[in-house]
Amino acid sequence: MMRATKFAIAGSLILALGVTLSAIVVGCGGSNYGHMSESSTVHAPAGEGGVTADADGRVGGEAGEVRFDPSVAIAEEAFRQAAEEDDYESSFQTRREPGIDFRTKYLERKRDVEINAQDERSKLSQGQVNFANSVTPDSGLIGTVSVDANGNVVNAPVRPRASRPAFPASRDSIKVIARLDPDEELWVISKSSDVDAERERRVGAEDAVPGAGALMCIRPSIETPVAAPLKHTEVSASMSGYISAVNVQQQYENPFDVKIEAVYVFPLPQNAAVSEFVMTVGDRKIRGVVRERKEAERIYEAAKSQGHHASLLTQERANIFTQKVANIEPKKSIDIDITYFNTLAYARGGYEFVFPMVVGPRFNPAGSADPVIASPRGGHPAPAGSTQVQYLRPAERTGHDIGLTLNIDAGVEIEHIHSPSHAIETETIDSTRAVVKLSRLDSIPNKDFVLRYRVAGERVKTALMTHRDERGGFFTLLAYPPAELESLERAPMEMIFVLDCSGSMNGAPIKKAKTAISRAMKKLRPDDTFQIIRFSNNASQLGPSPVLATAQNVERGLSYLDGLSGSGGTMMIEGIRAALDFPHDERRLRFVCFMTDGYIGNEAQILGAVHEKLGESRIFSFGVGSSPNRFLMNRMAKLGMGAVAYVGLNDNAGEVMDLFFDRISHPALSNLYVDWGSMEVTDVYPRRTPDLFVDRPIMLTGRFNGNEPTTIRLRGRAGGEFRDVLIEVDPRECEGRHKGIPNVWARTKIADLADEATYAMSVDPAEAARIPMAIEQTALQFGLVSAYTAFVAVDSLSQTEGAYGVSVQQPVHVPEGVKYSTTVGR
Amino acid sequence: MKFLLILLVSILAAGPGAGDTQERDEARATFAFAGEPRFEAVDIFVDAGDASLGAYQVELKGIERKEARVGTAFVKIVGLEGGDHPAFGDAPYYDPEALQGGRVIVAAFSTAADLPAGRTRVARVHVMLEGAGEPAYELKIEAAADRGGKPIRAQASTERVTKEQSEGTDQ
Repeated sequence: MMRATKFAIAGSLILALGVTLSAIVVGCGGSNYGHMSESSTVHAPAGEGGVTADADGRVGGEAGEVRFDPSVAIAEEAFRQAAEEDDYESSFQTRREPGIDFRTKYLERKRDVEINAQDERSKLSQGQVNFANSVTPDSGLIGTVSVDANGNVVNAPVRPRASRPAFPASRDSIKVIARLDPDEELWVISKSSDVDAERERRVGAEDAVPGAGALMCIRPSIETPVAAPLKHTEVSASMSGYISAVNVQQQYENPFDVKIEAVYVFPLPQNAAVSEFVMTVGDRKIRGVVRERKEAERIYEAAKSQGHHASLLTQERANIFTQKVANIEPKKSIDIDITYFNTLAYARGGYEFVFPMVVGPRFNPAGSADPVIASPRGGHPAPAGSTQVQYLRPAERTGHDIGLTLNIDAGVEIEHIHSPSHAIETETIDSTRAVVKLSRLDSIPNKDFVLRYRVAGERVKTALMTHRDERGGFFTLLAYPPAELESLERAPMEMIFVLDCSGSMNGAPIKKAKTAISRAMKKLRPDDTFQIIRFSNNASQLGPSPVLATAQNVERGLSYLDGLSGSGGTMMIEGIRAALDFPHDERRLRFVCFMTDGYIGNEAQILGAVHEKLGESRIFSFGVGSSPNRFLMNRMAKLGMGAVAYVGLNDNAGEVMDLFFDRISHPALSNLYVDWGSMEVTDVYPRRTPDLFVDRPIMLTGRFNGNEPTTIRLRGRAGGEFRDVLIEVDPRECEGRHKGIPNVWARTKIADLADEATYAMSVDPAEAARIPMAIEQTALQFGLVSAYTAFVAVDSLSQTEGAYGVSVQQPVHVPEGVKYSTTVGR
Repeated sequence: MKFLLILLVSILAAGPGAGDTQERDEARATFAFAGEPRFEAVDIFVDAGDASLGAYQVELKGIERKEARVGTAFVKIVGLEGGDHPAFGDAPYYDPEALQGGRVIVAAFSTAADLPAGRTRVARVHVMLEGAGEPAYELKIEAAADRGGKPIRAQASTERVTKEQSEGTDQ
């Protein structure tokens, strides 16, 4: 009945004999940012039985029972390792209640285990386990729980801790319900209560806090509350086909005794077409208008200085925005609603919706023109022309939380809904529709929300979506590669792995990246060649040139990889140069894999270098971590004629790499030309049609006039031959599919122009000078935020008393898995 | 109802009309005005007579042509708010392209059971004024319809709103 699983981590060995198909680790007194101590050992019981905690907070102590070092990070690492090596998936789950926060982390088996967090203790049913009786105020524990073959709960004995309670005595209990399959167990493990509270309180302290497990309880006595103006963010999204319409409501409230201006730097998807902006003051809703950016800033400053309620939304990067709200009086609130459309990633019947929640701390090389500066909370104001993000220190918390509701209307049967990043609650409306909510137990905005849902069939029901109005017709088209590509073998390749070894990658992200590279190296063929390049403050590499992927060389590469760690700055330009300045071996296809979180502020310089040096290379960017810079990752892949993938902290890095190899193991359909038939198409974006890789459809958007059924023909070269993809379409049938299509088109055009701007200066300065105006005109015409346009809203009838007060920047968490000490606190 | 939808879509999608390019160029020109900008609001009323007002579209323009600038305030629209009646209480939509030409085309429709008749405030436009003179506004009603989307005769008018007036009516 019991199975054995080995969790091996660097410097330690965790043996979980006979158990651990699912695990919840419970603790108390830890911080939000898991760090890894250097060694630990966990021994699971050889058979069933309880888990106890001794006076030192260690669980076990009896022969044959669990013993482990109380380190949050160790448990996390063990889980991740398990997820990678033992075909588990791990997830996070956060619980938050007044005065106490919990965070659970658990593994779930990939097949069909679903773990829910609910509140009602009564919701026990077959295959579900309620821990209400397992974790009590004075037990601290803890126990293993399983269900037997009949679905009956087998609750292991709970032994009280000898030391002080793990949880405040005022709490009733922790209630966690998890659904298990027969023969599976769920572990609930205590963490040490021997946390040095002063250490946690210490301002700017290293954020490594001992403690075990993944359910962390942050007691008010050891947490430093930070007053901040943003109280709550509520996100509601509707997905129809591969387009989503998203409303983000930011609820500001002034907790201070003086009037303030709230400033919040926040992320949105890099392809978000932000088209609506409404400020709510009391019962009054004032719709903002799009203006040229400088003009909007001038209007806002004038209104602010005169005491009017006013708000301004500007774009700092395609995925970074700044919200300013002026003249919020003490204890008063103002809401801001932002609406955008964007397209969803789609592959093999699966959609992916991503909502980023925090901007990662960026590194800015000396001389960066418009840096994104990472500062400690309360730090000095950033210089003019820069964007500043202020970060909470490890033990600090604001009251800002987030809610998220997604309405999915797939149009076809939904087969599976899953979030690798957060705990969710799913309500099925019918076979094609569902409502997904972020669990309120997981409401800390410190990582990207990722939702994946699979629908029936390998392809979307309607590849062409159109919309017509007085401006004419707009369309989006999802184009698939021809099926025969999968039967073609690839040529030998030259694989260049470029690993970001900067401080922000330290810990879990770099381990994830190394696991992915390791997996890829083992999949190389002996006639392939490879190279490993690392970069932080500078770049270095495995050897002077790529080597054949022989067993011996792969072993040497793995050894080199194993020795890499994260520290220092992110001089990505060094990595780009090192990777693309190699002499190209013309007998091989060159693939360059960038493994990075993308936490840099000089994106334009990097993208310019990619374009300049690309040559025959193809760039595949892998965004690593809980909140990577998706703008940079996507644009690198686009300019590099490759593709993008993401390796979240709860993703299986091996699987991600397997999918990548599936793609590149067959030739791509390249040099694409599109014959639009009788659609009378113009203004198609992206202007340079990307290559079509196996399992990766591309999205094209354009304008059209035609109204008759026709055949769209994509022609490209693969395997030395021309190949066609034929798509039968009837624009009349597709009409009115989505009102957001014109905005998607405009946003895609702006992105294309912005890409052009990154490299046009060196090619054609006159043309480059024209681009900002072209972006501005498109954005103004369609009412979108861009680098050159902004939303402003003023309530001309409100006039608050006195000066406009002080500006208060909303501090944010560093992303989950990222260390404050090696980034902001560097 | 189809008329209402077409009306709203056409507003949101309205392309530039004749002379818009010139107007935009004028509106985008930078002028140095003495003194601080001022802010005020303009209420838009629609009088549908005995009919129930289900939809409307109006165009509001501050007088901002070059020849009129001497002694005249330069008007910039900085926000849009809904009207008095709940059917038109939400902030109305506008045509972003027209806005860049120094005018605003505002529209809304309602499917509510209770629709206003007679003269009702349908929107409030917040503006920033620059220059020493008093602003002047031009308002044109472009369309009005009843609950079923049938065009109706209606008149539109504006009223400038001061902070004091607002406090008297809104509170």
